[in-house]
Amino acid sequence: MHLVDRSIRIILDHQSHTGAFPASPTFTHYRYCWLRDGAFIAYSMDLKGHHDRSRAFYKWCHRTIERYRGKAESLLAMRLGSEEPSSDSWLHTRFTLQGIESTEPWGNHQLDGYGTYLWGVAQHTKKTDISTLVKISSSLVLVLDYLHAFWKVPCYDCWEEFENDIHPSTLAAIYGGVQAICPLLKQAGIISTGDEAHYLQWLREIKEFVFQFYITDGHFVKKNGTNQLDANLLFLAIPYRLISPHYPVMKKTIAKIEKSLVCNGGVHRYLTDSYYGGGEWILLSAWLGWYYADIGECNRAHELLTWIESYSTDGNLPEQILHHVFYPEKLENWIQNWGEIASPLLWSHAMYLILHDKLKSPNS
Amino acid sequence: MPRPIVVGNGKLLINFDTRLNMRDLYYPYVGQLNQIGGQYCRLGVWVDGVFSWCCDEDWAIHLDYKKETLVSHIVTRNERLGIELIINDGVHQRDDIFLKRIQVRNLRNEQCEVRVFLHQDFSINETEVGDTVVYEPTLHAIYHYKRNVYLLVNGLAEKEGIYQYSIGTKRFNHAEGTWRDAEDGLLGGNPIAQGSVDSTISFRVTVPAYDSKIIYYWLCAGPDRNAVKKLNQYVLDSSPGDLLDRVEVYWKRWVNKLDMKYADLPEEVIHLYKRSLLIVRTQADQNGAILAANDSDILQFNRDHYSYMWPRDGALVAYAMSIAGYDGIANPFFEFCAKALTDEGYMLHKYNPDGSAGSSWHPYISKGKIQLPIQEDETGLVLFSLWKHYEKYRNLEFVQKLYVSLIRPAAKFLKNYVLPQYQLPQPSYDLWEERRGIFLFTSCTIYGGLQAAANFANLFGDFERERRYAEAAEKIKSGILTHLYDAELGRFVRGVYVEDQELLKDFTLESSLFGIFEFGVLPATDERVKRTMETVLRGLKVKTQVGGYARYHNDYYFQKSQDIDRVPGNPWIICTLWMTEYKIATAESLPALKEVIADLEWVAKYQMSSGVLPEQLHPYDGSPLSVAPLTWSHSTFVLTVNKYINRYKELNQNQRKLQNRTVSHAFSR
Repeated sequence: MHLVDRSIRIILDHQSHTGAFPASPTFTHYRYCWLRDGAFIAYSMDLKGHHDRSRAFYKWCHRTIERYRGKAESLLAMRLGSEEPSSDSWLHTRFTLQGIESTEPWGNHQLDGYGTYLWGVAQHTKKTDISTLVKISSSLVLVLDYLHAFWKVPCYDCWEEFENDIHPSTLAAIYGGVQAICPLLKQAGIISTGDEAHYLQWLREIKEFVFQFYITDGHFVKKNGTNQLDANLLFLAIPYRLISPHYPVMKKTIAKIEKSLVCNGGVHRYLTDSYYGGGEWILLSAWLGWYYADIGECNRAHELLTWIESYSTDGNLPEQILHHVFYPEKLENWIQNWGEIASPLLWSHAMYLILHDKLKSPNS
Repeated sequence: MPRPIVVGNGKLLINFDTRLNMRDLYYPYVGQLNQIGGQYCRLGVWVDGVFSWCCDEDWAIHLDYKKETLVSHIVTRNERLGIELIINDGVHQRDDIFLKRIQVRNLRNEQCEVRVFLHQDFSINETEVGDTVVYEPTLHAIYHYKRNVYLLVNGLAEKEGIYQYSIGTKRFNHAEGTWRDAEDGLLGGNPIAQGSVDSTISFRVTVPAYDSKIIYYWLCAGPDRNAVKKLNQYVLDSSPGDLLDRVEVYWKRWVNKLDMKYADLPEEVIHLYKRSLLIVRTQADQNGAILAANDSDILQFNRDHYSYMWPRDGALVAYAMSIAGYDGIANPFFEFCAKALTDEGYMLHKYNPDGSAGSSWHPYISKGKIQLPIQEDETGLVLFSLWKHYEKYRNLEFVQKLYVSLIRPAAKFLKNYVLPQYQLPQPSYDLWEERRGIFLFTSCTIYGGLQAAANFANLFGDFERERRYAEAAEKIKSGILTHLYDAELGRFVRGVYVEDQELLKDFTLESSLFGIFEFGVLPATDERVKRTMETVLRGLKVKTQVGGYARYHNDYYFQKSQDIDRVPGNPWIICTLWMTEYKIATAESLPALKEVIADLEWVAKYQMSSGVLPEQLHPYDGSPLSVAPLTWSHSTFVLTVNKYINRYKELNQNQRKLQNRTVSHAFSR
């Protein structure tokens, strides 16, 4: 079976009857559904015509968020006044497949997942019709308010790390989500023209913020005042379009990433990554390929696609390829404590599908 | 500590701090040399055996000027002593004489004897080495001297002159200074001392219950003994009170010489407008230098001061004063610039008031590369300002003289100092003199300067040069629109740095982006300008009770808060007023314009009680930060008020035209 069909099969087979996608069915810590992973998986399903699966996922998100509406509302009522919210008062980024918060300690405050949720719903709507969006609009509006209130609060990044910083990749996800969903919400009559203008103004603020704090030596950086790179800076352009993929600062960022984080087709997260020794992430290779497909450099995108295909074992795509790791001495310890690297990782399959689709029809 | 009271005549400038100490005395130039150097020349009072310095905490001091004058009106009261002093300080508008009137009011129900002590701590020509103080009985006066500077002090209490005096050593070995001698109410009478010296004199009056007596004190500055002797005699002959009254009248006439119509501006704004004109006058030297500030307390922070003429500050002050009708300050400034311009056609970083080059930290070489140590906006602004001056006064003879000595060489420099591949000026230091690169503000002033030069060339029929200058200006404009505008962000950027053949943009939000419309590159209503200014307005607003706008995002200078989100920097008077200028330029109706008055009232709210404006405000309590007065703060207020009034007139006329049209329509129907 071709890796495309295999990838679709894996995703379809593992989607829960609740609509949730487990991050990885075989890896203990990943038996949850993340908003971030899930939205990309749903997007891949939308690209491949399985809209019903995507719809089921977003309805699951909606029910889950509505279940914890009380938390969001009490945070909004507080508006970060005198008291700091406790770390567990934030909305979580992952849930059990039944849509329940997990009780084990975890870095749950990750705003990028909520941005991705909005972005994913918008993509689904564009591929189908407005009906799902209308049904789940109450959670979309809640998320809009939530993000608007707390976007400048430090939180974990998309790698679930560095909780004391504000991350440009997270800001990009918020930006992309808000920008994509607002016109649709207005079209559906759920928000007013005034609301939309208000949100667009906020988008300009986010963008200014990124430009003020996250450019060093002419390229984007993951942390203010440093020149640290992270492959997640890709988010700025793809798919969230906080900036154009052709923008010189973005191009320079890509060139820097290619130089220091890419080994053949494998893309590392960042230089000091030691999770499972810090290997090459399939989903990032696909992501980088997506970037190249978007700007019309299809040869490089194809190289990356081929690289991914060469690393699928039994048709499964793992989270990382441990072919070239930054800290080999740390690998053993992870395997002992957490088990073998997660495989299949549904997000890896989804990103592969997305890249495959983009190369089939560039700029779609 | 700021200087809420400054008095001067364009040659002699004297500053007082908030506790009535005389702290700076500049002579023979405004800003050069500081004969006190920030030391404390104290004022003390002895009442029936009890002594107190007026800088002590039990004096309640209210500082102000007499309305519309450069004569102070200070009320200081000590309940413990039962004494109130009403003090008027002024400098004669022509002669180098400082005059002080002290009305001593007895608040008690019994007569008392009051002795007033005045302390002089001069270090002549900025060093105490080789000073002399002497009492001369035939003059019954004291004078400090060294080489070409003589400072004579004298006074009158009723018909009596100086009561007692003390002359001695200060800050050397164990001697603190003669002021210590005053604290028992008596002065030793030593007639001469040399080296590191100071002097204290006293006056004595007997004041009946609930009554008052007047004491006069004066200080004459001159190049030799004869000169100060003559000035002293002039005061005695004219009577010091009458002289001080004439000083008052002079400044009232000066500040009201034009029949200004202030549109719908409130009283306190007009009041601060006039105060600003007067303060600017004190900070401008008669030979043309317009000083940035003369508050020597900044020495504690920088080990250098603001008593220099930056051509940028000077040009913008001259522009404001020209628009306000005070070409008396602008004319000598342009003549100063013509002399100060280098042979290569650029203005240096800054100048001393005597025309010599000021201190600088800008190197001629950096990372092994030769560079010019300049802030190029300082050259562009002089030409820009000169054209504005010409537009107002049409003084052809005046600008004709400057055409060859100033306009042409400066324009030639601006035209040639470019990077042709980008059509931008070559790098130089920015207006805050903090970084080197190619900045929007600087580039816009160069555009404005070249346009001005083209206008002058046209004026004199020099059409070939007009073409060259205009062409150079257009190129700069296209460079600005190409490289200093970011289409992705939809706004102009602070500047670019040239590195390895590429331009790196600086995205820091910056108040001086207002230069894009101020110097005529684009109208304020252009969409790109609007988006830029609206981003600046939101991003640099200081979100505290104090309000106002920061200079730029994360401004480090005198930084008081790490909460950059709420306090991007301390509020600056000039930057806040630049935002006001944008609002004025884009106000499309009278009601919209009227909203701008709140900004002007904001400035008035944070003036010191005497009307002096500082450079910056504390973001939480609004107290003055850095130097005060800052000439540029006052001149920007003057300019903004004028822009307001002009816009008011325009909109008013438009409205009338519109009404007339409606009326005639009604008739035709």
